[in-house]
Order: sequence, then C-alpha cells, then structure tokens
Amino acid sequence: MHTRLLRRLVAPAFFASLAVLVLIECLIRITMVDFFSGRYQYGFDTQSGFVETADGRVNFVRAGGRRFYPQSMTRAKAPGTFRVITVGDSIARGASLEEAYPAQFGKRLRDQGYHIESINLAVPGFGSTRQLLVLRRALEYHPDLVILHFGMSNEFEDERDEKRAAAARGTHPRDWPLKSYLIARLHEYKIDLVTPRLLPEKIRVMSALDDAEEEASANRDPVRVQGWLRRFSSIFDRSLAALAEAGVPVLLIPRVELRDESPDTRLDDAGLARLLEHHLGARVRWLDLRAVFGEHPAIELFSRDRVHLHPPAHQVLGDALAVLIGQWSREPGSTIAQALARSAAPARTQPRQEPPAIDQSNEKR
Amino acid sequence: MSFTAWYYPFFLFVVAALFWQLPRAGRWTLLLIASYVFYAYWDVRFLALIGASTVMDFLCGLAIAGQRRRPTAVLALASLPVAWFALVGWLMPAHRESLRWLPLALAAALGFVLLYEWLWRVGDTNRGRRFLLLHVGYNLGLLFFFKYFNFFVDSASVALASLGLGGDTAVLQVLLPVGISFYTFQSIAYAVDVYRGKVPPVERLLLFAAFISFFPQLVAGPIERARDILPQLSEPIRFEIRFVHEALALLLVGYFKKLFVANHCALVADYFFKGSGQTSPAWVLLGTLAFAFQIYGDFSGYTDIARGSARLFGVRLRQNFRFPYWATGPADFWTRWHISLSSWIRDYLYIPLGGNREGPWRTVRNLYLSMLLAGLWHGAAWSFLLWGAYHATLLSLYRLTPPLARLEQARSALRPLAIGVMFLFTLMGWLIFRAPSMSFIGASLQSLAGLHTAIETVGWHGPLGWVALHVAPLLALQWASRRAGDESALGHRGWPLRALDYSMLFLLVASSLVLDQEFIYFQF
Repeated sequence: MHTRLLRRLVAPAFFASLAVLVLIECLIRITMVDFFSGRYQYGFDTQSGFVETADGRVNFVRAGGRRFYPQSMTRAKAPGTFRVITVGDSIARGASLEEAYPAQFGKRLRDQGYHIESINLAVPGFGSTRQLLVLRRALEYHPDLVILHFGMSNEFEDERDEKRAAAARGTHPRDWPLKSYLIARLHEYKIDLVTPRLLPEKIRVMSALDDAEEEASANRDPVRVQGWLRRFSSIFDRSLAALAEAGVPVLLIPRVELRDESPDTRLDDAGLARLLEHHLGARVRWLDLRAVFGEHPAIELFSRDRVHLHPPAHQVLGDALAVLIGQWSREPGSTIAQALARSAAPARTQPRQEPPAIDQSNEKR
Repeated sequence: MSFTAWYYPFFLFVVAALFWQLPRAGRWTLLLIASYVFYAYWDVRFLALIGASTVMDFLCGLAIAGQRRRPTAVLALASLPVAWFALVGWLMPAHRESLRWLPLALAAALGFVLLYEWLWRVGDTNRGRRFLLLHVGYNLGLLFFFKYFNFFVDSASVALASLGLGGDTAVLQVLLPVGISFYTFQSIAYAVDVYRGKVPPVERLLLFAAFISFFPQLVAGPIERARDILPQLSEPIRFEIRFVHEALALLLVGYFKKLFVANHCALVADYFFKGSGQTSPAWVLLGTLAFAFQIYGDFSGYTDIARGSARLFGVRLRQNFRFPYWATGPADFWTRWHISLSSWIRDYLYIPLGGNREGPWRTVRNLYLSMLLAGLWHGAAWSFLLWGAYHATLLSLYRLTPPLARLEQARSALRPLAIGVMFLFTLMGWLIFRAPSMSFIGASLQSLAGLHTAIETVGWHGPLGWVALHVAPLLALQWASRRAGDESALGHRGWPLRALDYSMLFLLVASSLVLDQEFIYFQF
C-alpha cells in the first residue's frame, strides 16, 4: 500500500532521473576530490596549487584556478640552498617553464657554482589580489629572495574571477545550479572548451561570451581605472609589508609594454616605477626593464600583443637578474650575500645540487 | 515577469500551492492577482490597458447576449483602468511623464460608456452585431494605437521626407505592451463565439478577467478559445498528482528548447543578421538555419512552459506546435506552426471571407488577406508584411500547381523530398522575417547566388558545428516523441527511458543557465 502511494506521489521516471543525477554527483564528489578542491575559487582559495606530501616535499600543481607549472621542492629548505620564488602573471610565467626567466637566471647562477632553487609561481591573469595570496603562501617556505613581477593589467580579471568565486560560494537561487559539481563541470567544459573551439572570437565577443570587449571598455573607464589604481597601491604596500615581516628580500620588476613612440620612450611602465620610490632599501631592489631591454631590437623581445616576452627576452632578463643578484650578493652585510655565500660554499666540496624537479611536459601558457 | 527569470519557478509553485488550498471562487481571484502581478512586472501601467480591455470585452460580451448593466456600473467599471493609470502616474515619479496620455485615456473610457449606452437605445435590431462591431473596433483600435502607431507615423515621415516634405519627424513614441496581440485576439475570438452562440457570455467579471489575463499564456499565447478555457477555470476540479508530473515534464522540455536550443542558436543567428548580408552563400544558409531553430526553440519552448505552468492549475492549454519542420507543404506547415494563430485566422477570417469555396481566385485573395494579417499580427514592419505575402504566395502556388499539390500530399518515397523542399521554403521565409531591412534581404539573396564577393572573414564550419550540437538533441527529442503526436510529450515511453530523457534534458538545461535572452514572441 505504501509502495502504491509512493508510486502515485513520485513518478518512477522522475524518481529514477533524480536518483541517477544524485548518484553521479556523489560519485564525482567522492572520486574527484583533488580535481574539485578549490576549483571554483578561481585562485582565491588560499591553499590551491600547493600540495604537501608525506615525504616532506611541496608539489606545485595546476589546481583551484592556479595554473602553476608543475614543480617540486622540499618543504624545509636544504642547507646551503638559495631559494628564489617568482610571483607574477603570464609575463613572468613565460611560454614554458624552461624558457621563462626564473629558470634562466637559476641556470646562470648554478653555472657560477651556487645552489639555486628557482620556483616559478607566476599565473596568467593574476592581478595584485591573487598575487598577494600566492605570495603569502610562498613565504611559508622561507625563500631567500622573492621576485615580484607586477603590473596593473590584470585587475579586471581579479574582479571578474572574484565575482565568479563569490557566485560559487553564494546562496542566491541564481547560483544554486553551480553548487552541483556535475553541472559546474559541464558548464565549465562548455565555456572553456566547446565554445572557443566552435564559435569564432567575433561571435563570442558580440554575444558577451568573451569579455574582451568588456575589459577593453573597462580599461577606457577612468573611474574603474582609478579604483584599480587605489586597490593596486594598497595591495602593493601589503605585499611589501608581508615580505618585510617575513624578513625576505624582494626584487621588484615593474611590467613594461612596447609603445609606438621614439626609441627612447618606446618602453612604457605606466608610471609603476614611481610607486617604488619610497619602498626601495636594503631588502627591496628593483630591476628597470626599460634599461635591460633598451639596447635590444623590440621585434626580438616582444610578442605581437606588445606585452608578453619572446624567449630571447627571457634570456636577456635571466642574464640581467643573474648579474643583479650577483652584485647584490657582493654588498657587505646583505641578507642575500649571506644566503648566497652559504649556497656557494658547499659547492666546492660536494657534487653540484640538482635543480628543482621539473615536470618535462613543457606545458604552454 | 519572464519565464526565464530565476524567480519564476518560485512564483509559479507558490501560486499553485495556494491555488489548491482555496475554494473555487477564491481560485479565480488568486489567479487574477497572480496574473496581474506577473504582468505588472514588465510595467505597472500595462495593468490599465489589460484592465480596460477586460472591462470593455466583459460588457460587450454580455451586451451581445442581450444582458445590460446599469449606466453607473458601466461608468464605474470603465473608470477603474483610468484611475489606475492616473494613480501610477501620480505615485511613481518614473511614470509621471505618461500622465500626458491621461486625457486620451479618459476620453476613450467616456467614449466607450457613451457608445455603450447609445447602442442600447437605438433599437433591438442587430444589437448583438453592433456590440460585436464595438468590441472588435475598440480592440483593434487599442492594438493599432499601441502596436502600429509608431510604425505608421514613422513610415509617413519617411514617405514625406522622400517627397521633400519632411519636417519635424519627432513624434510621440508609444510603448508596446507585451502580449497585446495575443490577448486582443483571444478576446475577439470570445466575442465572436458569444455572437455565434458557441459560448455563453461570462457573467462574473473576476472569472472573465482571470480568463483574459491567465498568466501562463498571457504574453505569448497560445491564443485560447473561451469554450476550451472557461470551463476549466470555472468547473470545480480536485487536485491530482499527475498535474504536477505532467507540468514538470512540459516545463523541462520547454526550458530545454528555450535555454539550450534557442539561446545557443541565437548566437550564430544574431551574428549573421547584425551584418550586412553581403557574405558567403554558406553563411546565408547557416545564419538562416540558426534563426529557424532559434525561433522554433524559443516560441515552442515558451508554449511548453506555458502549458506546463497551466497544468499545475489543472488547466490544459492547446498544442501550438506539432513538428513544424517536418511539414510537406505550406498548408501542412500552417497546421503545425503556431497552430493557435493559424486556426484563429482560419476560423475568424479565412472561412468568413469564403475560404476556398468560391473559386480559385477568391481563394487566392482570401489566402493573401489572411496571411497578410498573420504577418502584420507579428508586428509593424514591412518585413512581416512581406513574410505574410511570401507565405500567401507559397500557399497559392501549392494550391494552384498540381505537381506541388501532389508533392504536399506525398505519402511515398517523395515525402522526404517534399519535407526538404518545404524546409528550404521555410528558411527563405525566416530570412525575410528576421531581416533588419529590405537591403539585407537583397544582399543575402545576391550572396546566395554568388553575385558578389563575400566580405565575411569568419569561418562557417565551427558555427555550423555549434548549431548542429544544439539542434541534435532537439531532433532526438522529436524522434522520441514522434509516436505521441505531441512534440513535447514523452509520457508514452517506458519510465526507464523517460528517466534517461529527463536526466539528459535537466543537465542540458542546467548547463545553459548562463545565457539569458528574452523570448522573441514577447514582442508580438
């Protein structure tokens, strides 16, 4: 009787359909825990991408919206190792781990006999907010030097992804469907893979599926740009405060882009260098890319978007950084000098330490 | 309120839950309140319009059947919509500007009251007919004013300008109330049916108002007949769980058609129709094909959501679409596409004009008049008129050309050919329908004939894959429901298969929620 009543109340087809969907959802939640961990936080989850293993290593993986290159290092820094962590966006990330400048200067310094561990934690599209989150996490691993390659070009992306992350956390009925990992994944698959493959960019932009137009319009809006500048300055100060609190020296690299003007002014840092003036000191140095790239033909250095760097530019930058760090290390009493000296000393008696383990998948941006 | 608004399902289920708790009379009142809330979501001023239409139709329906109301009651009823209009303008600063229309609204209401009284006094002969004319005249007047006023003024300005007589072309732009074409036609059908004695007049104003404004079908149909809906609203019915099951199935199919099929095909169609038309032949075909499935998914999806919503109240709305792209000819197409409009035109225009009973040329004339009205019903634009004329031409050709007539009746191996030919004709019709201008149609036809070099740089292979990806599940759904005779019914399949159907549909709908586009037919 109860069964008959139940059958009357709940149509078998709806019940079975609901059961199938719930089952798939449960299976996904059980079997794909790692895959979904922090995935819909779009880089705002504090833990994503840093995976500590039982054998005392830290693996950097692509997770939770953090597209780290696969890399690995020991959690506790090995004695005599000079650990450098680079935080930035797609420019510092480079086209591949090996070609990007963090690997390049690491190689130069290793060639000079230092035990260098250079980790590239740059993530494309990350603005100041998300870079600060990555930086704070990275400081837990006691780097000897942090390279902060910064600019203001990703504030739009930070805002957009912050909204997405808020929607994923939100309780508004509009956000309910995305609470399901099954639906969220389907949606993501469609937006990230199917749509770009089948619909040309022109159609995507026209249909607001691609926000390039919205970003361009935001960049032309002085009110939004002023807001970004205020936020960026505040977060920049907080980043330097976090570094100072951890006692970690930092090398700042303001982003530059190629302009059409005369060769003297062709590289523009959008006034970022001015931000640094009152921060520079014994622990805070900067590298002026306008000076580093000044002598080189632009066509060899910059890609067509005039912002991203070609592999030769990464090599030039790697050389410049190796020289700068070398000079810094020769300054008496500097933290860098002591750390580098420690990393160089054992090299004369022990076999050269291997560079950090690198996944050879040669993952592209 | 749109069916795709996130709050619509909450609104629907809350109203349905309350509905079944109330006694019969309370149910009409609830439906009326819910319908007015639903309609007011677009613009609160629209309530004055639908209120005026309701009061006028109610009084005329009674008068046609020989029932008179006291002059004071008529005056009071006619004043209600005007009072609402004035109140909105007075209380809401955003609508204060519309108070300039108040004298016109007042004059229309007083004019109606005076005409109503005068028609009662001029004698009994043909009184029903005179009230029918009053009813139709007032309804068409409202429709003309709100829907076609801008069009004719703009067209006149352009014509005068072309003669060098153009002066100041700034005119009063009139807001188009959503769904006005639907409820006006439904109301006219009611009055004609009362006049013909097919339905008795409704004597309760609230019931009649609920019939006119029933929210599931208020803004985009189906255009219902009083004899089908009024008994369902007025008869006491007991709640049955199957209402919910049927409603859920229809809602799911409707949202699938709208959110998955229509909204995605719209991306390709919009791109094509926002261009110049000067493109490659492939893009003309693809853009039109995408629009064909956009408008079909959009409108039939709306109808399914409307049917599903109504079913929650125990009301069964009519089928408005029946596999239209499988039609073998134009006459067959019009028994499958927007059935409630085509049958309205057949019953209240084509057949009264003589239909096909008075020789081939009269038939052609009647076809042209009917299809031009069908075109004009969609909106005040030359492209809609041309589309109506195009379909009239097709209907006439198929009727007057024996090989085509035989092709339409084909039951053999020729049937796929007939379907294919008609589908191409249908696409041509959609090109005319959606084209933003006459020059676009010309450019597209020239592109199709390869008469000029394409300036389009976007490839068509990917977008074709996109359209195919979003149309294939629709065709699978049609295949699954082919035996039911109802393109949205899956009830005849065994429950395991239906469970699979529902799961797939749900996932496709849920993964499409990001694309938010309004229903096309709200504008008509």
